[in-house]
Amino acid sequence: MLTEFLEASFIFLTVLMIAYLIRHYFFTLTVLKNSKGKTEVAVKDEAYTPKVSILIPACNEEQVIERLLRRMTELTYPKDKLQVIVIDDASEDATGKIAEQYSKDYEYITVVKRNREEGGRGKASALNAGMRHAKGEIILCFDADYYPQKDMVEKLAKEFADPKVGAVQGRVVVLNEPQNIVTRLVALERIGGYRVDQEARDKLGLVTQFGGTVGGFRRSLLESLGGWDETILAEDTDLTFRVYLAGYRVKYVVDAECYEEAVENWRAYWKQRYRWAKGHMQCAFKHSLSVLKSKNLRLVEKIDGLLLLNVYFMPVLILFSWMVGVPLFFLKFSQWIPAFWTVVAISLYSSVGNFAPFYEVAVGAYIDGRTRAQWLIPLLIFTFLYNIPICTKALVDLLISKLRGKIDNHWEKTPHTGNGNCYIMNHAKTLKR
Amino acid sequence: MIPTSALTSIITLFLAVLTFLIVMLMPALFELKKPKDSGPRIMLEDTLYSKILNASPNIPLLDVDDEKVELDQEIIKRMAKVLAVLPRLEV
Repeated sequence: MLTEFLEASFIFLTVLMIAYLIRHYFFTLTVLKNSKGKTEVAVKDEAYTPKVSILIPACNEEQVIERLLRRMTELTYPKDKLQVIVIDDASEDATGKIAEQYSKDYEYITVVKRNREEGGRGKASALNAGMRHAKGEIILCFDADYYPQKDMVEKLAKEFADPKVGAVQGRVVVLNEPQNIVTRLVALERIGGYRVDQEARDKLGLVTQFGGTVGGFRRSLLESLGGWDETILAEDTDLTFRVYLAGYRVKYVVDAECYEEAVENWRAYWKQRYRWAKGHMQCAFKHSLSVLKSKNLRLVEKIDGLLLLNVYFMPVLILFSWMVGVPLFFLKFSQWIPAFWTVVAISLYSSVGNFAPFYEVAVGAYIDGRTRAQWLIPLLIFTFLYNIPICTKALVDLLISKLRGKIDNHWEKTPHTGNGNCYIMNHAKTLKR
Repeated sequence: MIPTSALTSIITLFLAVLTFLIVMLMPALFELKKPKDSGPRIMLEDTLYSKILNASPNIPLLDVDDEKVELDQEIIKRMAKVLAVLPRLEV
C-alpha cells in the first residue's frame, strides 16, 4: 500500500515537473528565436499622451528616495500631464522631509502623509491611499529604490492606446549587481525572469505578470476592481489575475527598463522571498478555481495562469519528491514501468530537465551580451536550494494561519541602504562619454 | 571492517563527485574572485530618440526676412523614432 502511494506520488510529481520543464524551454526558445529576427517596429498612437499619476509608496526610504524624486524631475513626459504622488507611509526617518522639499520645488509632486495609526500596514494599503489622490487616467507605480529611464512614462503609457490593455509592466534591472554574490545572483534571476519569462509570455499571448512596480494600470479598471487587495501579500500577482479575469491583459514592454536595488544579504533575501512565496500561495488559493472557470481566458492562458499561480509550491513539491523518491528507490522499482525505462527517464530528466531554469538565465544573459555573467550560473543551485526551506515555511505558516482562522499578513519591508547610488553616478559618466 | 573493493568504490565515488563539483563551480569562483562582467546592465535610455528629443527643444531652420521658422516638435519626434530604429533593422 505504501509503495503504491509513493509510486503514484512520484509519477504525479514527475509529470508536474516536466510541465514546468517544457514551459521553461518553450519560453527560452521563443525569446531566442525572436531576438534573432527583425526588430519589431510597433505602430502606436504617438498623439496618445494621457494624464499619468505616478505612485511612490515610501516607508523609511531616506537613503534612496531622493534619487528617484530627482529622476522624476528628469522624466521627458510632458509635466502638465504628470502627477507624482509620494505616499510617506509613517516613515520615522527623513523620507517625508525630502519628499516635502521636492513637493515645494515642483508643483506636479505631492506628498500624502500617513501617520502611525493609518500607515505602516504594507504596500497595498499605501497604494490605495495614494490612488485616492490620483487624477491621471493611467496610474503607474514605482518602489522608492527604483530608478527609471527618462522616457519610461512614454514607453509604458503608449500601450494603453490599445483598449484591451488593462495594465503594463516594464523590465527590472538590478542596479547594485557588482556589490556581492547575493546581488549578482539576484541579477541573474531577474535576467531570467524579465528578459526571458515575461517577454515570452507577452510574445505568446499568455499571462504576463504585473510585478508590483515599474508598471501600472488603467485607472478606470483599477477603480472598478476595487484597488489593491490589502489582505494579500503579493498584491501585484493578485491584481494581475483580477485584470485577466476581467477580460483585459497585461502588456510587457521589454525596452522600458528600470533599475532596482537588490537585497544585499541572505537574510534579506529570505524575508523578501518568504513574502513573495506566501503572497503567491494566497493568490493560488484565491484565484486557481476562477482561472479554470473563466470565460475570458483561452485554454493556454488557463494552463499558463495555473502554472504561474502555483509556481511557489514547486520548491515544496521538490522536497516532497525527494522524500518520496528515496524510500521508493530502496523499497523497489515501479511495478508499472520497467526498471530500465525508469532509469532512462530519471537520467534524462537529471541531465536536461534540471537545467531548464538555468538555460533560461543563460539565454537571457546571452541576449543581453553578458557572456561573462553566465559563468556564475552554476551558483544558482544555491538559491534554488535556499528557496526550498523558504517556500516550505511560507506554506506551513499559511496553512497554520488558515487553520487558526487568523490572517497573518505582516509586511516585512525590504530595507534599502542606497548602496546603488554609486552605480548611478558611474552610469551617468558612461553615458556622457 | 569495510572490504577493500567497497572502500575503493566509495573513495572513487567521492573523488568523482568532488571533481564534478570543482569543474562545475570553477568558472563561477574565477568570476567571483576577479569579476570581469561589465554589470550592472547599462539601460538603453540615451537612445538616439531621446538624445534628439532632448537636444531639440525648437530647432531654428532658416531666417527669412527676420522671421524665424521652427520645426514642428511632432515631426522631430517621428523622425527621431524612425532614425532610432534604423540601425537595429536587419538587412
